[in-house]
Amino acid sequence: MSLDYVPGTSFFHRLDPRTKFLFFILAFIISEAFDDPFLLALEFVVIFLIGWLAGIPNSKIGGLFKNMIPVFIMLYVLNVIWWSPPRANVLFYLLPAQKWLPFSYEAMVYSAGVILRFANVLIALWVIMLTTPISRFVLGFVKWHLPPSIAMGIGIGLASVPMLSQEIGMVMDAMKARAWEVEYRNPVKRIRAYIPLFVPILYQTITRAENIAVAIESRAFGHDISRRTYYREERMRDSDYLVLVLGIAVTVFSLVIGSYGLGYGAYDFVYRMILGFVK
Amino acid sequence: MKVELFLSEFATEFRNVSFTYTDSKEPALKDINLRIKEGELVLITGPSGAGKTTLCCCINGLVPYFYTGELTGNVIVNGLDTKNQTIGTLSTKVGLLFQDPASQLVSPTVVDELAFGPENLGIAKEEIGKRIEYSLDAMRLRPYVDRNPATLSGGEQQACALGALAAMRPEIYVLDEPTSNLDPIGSSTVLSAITELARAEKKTMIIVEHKIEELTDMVDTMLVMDQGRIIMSGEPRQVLKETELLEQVGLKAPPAAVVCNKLAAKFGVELGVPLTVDEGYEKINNFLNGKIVRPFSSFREKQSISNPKTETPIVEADGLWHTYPGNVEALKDVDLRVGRGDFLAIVGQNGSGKTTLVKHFNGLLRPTRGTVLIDGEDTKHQTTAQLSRKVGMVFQNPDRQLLKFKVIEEVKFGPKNLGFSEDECNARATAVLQAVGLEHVTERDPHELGKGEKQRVVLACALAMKPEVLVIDEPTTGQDYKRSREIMDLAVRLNKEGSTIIVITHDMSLVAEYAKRTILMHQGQILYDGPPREAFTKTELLKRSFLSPPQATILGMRLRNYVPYTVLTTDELVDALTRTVT
Repeated sequence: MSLDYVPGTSFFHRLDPRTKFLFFILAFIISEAFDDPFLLALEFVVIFLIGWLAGIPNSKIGGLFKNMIPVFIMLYVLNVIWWSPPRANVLFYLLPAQKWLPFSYEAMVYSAGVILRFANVLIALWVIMLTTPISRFVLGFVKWHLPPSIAMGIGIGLASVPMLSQEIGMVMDAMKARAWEVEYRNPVKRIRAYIPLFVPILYQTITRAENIAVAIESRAFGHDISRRTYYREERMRDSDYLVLVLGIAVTVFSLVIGSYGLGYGAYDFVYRMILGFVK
Repeated sequence: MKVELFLSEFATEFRNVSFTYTDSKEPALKDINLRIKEGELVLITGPSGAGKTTLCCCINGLVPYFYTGELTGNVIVNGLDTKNQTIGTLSTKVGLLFQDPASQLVSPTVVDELAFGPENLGIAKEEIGKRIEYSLDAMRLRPYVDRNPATLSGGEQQACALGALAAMRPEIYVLDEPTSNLDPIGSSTVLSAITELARAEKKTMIIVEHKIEELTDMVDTMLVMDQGRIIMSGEPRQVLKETELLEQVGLKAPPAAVVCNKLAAKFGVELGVPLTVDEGYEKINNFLNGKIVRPFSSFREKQSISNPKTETPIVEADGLWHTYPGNVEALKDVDLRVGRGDFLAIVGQNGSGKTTLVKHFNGLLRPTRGTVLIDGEDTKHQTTAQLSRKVGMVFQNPDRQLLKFKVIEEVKFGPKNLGFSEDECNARATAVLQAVGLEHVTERDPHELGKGEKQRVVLACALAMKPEVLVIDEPTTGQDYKRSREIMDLAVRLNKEGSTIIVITHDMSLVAEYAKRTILMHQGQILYDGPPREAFTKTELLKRSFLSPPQATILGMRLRNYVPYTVLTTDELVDALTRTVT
């Protein structure tokens, strides 16, 4: 499941890429304002709905999250184990004899919030990436006075990702055809099996970098970059300012709730509900 | 920077130019003197390593500014000595298109790609828009405006790269093997588009190509390079008088010219040098008119080597379908039986399903529907590693397949994965390296070898697994005629020793010369399965799949009055015509 642009003409598609980038930053700040899983889940639903209204197929977002499930599980378990407040209500220990690695109710609720926070950052990033071609981001950043050479570098690098993933696929096919196995259950064996991939992929990456350097030099990239023009230009419209004002208002409101601890009401409710359910 | 303007009536001039790369002892260019007039169309040809690409890179300053080394003499482009210019300045005059289109596409969409050069030149937005429109139409790119160039087919990528150059409006176009990844019709479409562009814009065009026969009637001048020198130059008709010399340096001379030259030599007459099949037909027809004494009945129809449909096929595909993500149906109900000892060529345009089909033979792909049996066993129940004992595969680009820093270790990688002992791996590696003629490089780093040697290393890697079936994907890509033939000669030897060979290729002359059986694929289906001699008579089917028979076969067909059967090679055609005449 890739992060390829999903073409469309929705309200969100039409926003200036800078607005979308700021939307992502604001979504990140909001998710940092709370620990409460309920409020974080609400933020997730709102961003998901924005993506849905922009025409991103549910299967696309679903597929991206499916790939992340092992990471979520690992993060959740590690977080529950390492984050346990004093006098926590411990449900069980992973090593009961030593009373090590506790699973407490508090840590479980708190970690659900951590995972949701991570999910919110991801979904906000995916929604802006899926509704904006890379070239528009580059143009937006140029308007923010990012030096053209750096902006072009980012653009070329990101445009090369599909090419590089095709390359990796071809290298792996060639190796599998020579009886190379990676389907080991043992993670150490699995990692070791991938080591031979390193040489051809590095070689191909260096070759591609050199080819790109030659190609862009030959197409006047080094001619006079200070006088470079842009065929497409990004422009902030009323809708962009509206979205930014609304976004900033929601963010300020969230920070206020968070700083006064109001966001923890739902957190306590969830915690008490779980305690009541278990006991 | 010192700017010195040379008074030169030529678009490009090389004055006693020699160049040696920093990491090389041998000069890549030796004492080149060359003058190309404004608006001239020049074809540069020569075997791999002749110095053609280096010469192209001199014109836009990549040599010596990017590819460093010692440059002597002067390269003068539009009156500017490249020694006193930057690549940036020269890129406003010279547009250079490289061999591999995928490696030079840098933008996320086709429109951005077309805009990239003009934007760098500081062209106004409105003018860039006009140029984009022009390139979209000239290169037939309109259906792909918002596509990522990486997702286009080889032909479309080439058209996009060429359109991007055209949008820069350079004075001189330099095109380095612009059709190396294309099927025959895709390649002639691109070459026609290039020459149309040059004529329409009255621009100087320098084209490096191995496919001489497709360009000789389109260009004004032809140069032949070998070992860093220009060994022949002049109008194509003048150069093609020496077809034997072209073949000596490892090039494939245009068949029509070869046939005329050979007939002329045999009968001591002057036939002239044809540049096209039509001209060849006219010249030969005029010569033969009134000279025929043998009736057709005295000829024995050339027998096609029949397809060995053995009782126990080694590869069997039944009702095979393959659908890629996004519902792209790459194979549709394919049935195929490959007998032991067969020599099969799978042909078809880019994207016809050839590679998808063969990837099912070693389990790299699994059927969406249908079955594939290898030696009677269903591939569903076997891993690719298990299948690799029976089916070896050599892919197109050797650099993607080289993992080790010693040739011998590279070859041992497969047998080691199969669990063989160190002694057995050594024995196998030594034997196959000897078989492919690489016993002298066992301790060298395979990445440092030449293209032809790298190709043989990856072939040795496949052979070390002792497969019964060897699949070779596009042995001609990036190789000159001589090297392609070397690989194919090796395949013939293996076939004689009992291996089953499956070759995927666009090169119809290789199919004609080597294959016992041709599988013609189009849009995921097999359109034809039979001997090449018959395949080439199916002109409608070939046309549908964007292929065309080799030039010798087409010429033979035109001369049907004198050659009553399908010929595959120039030698066959010359032989048939010689027997016709007393």
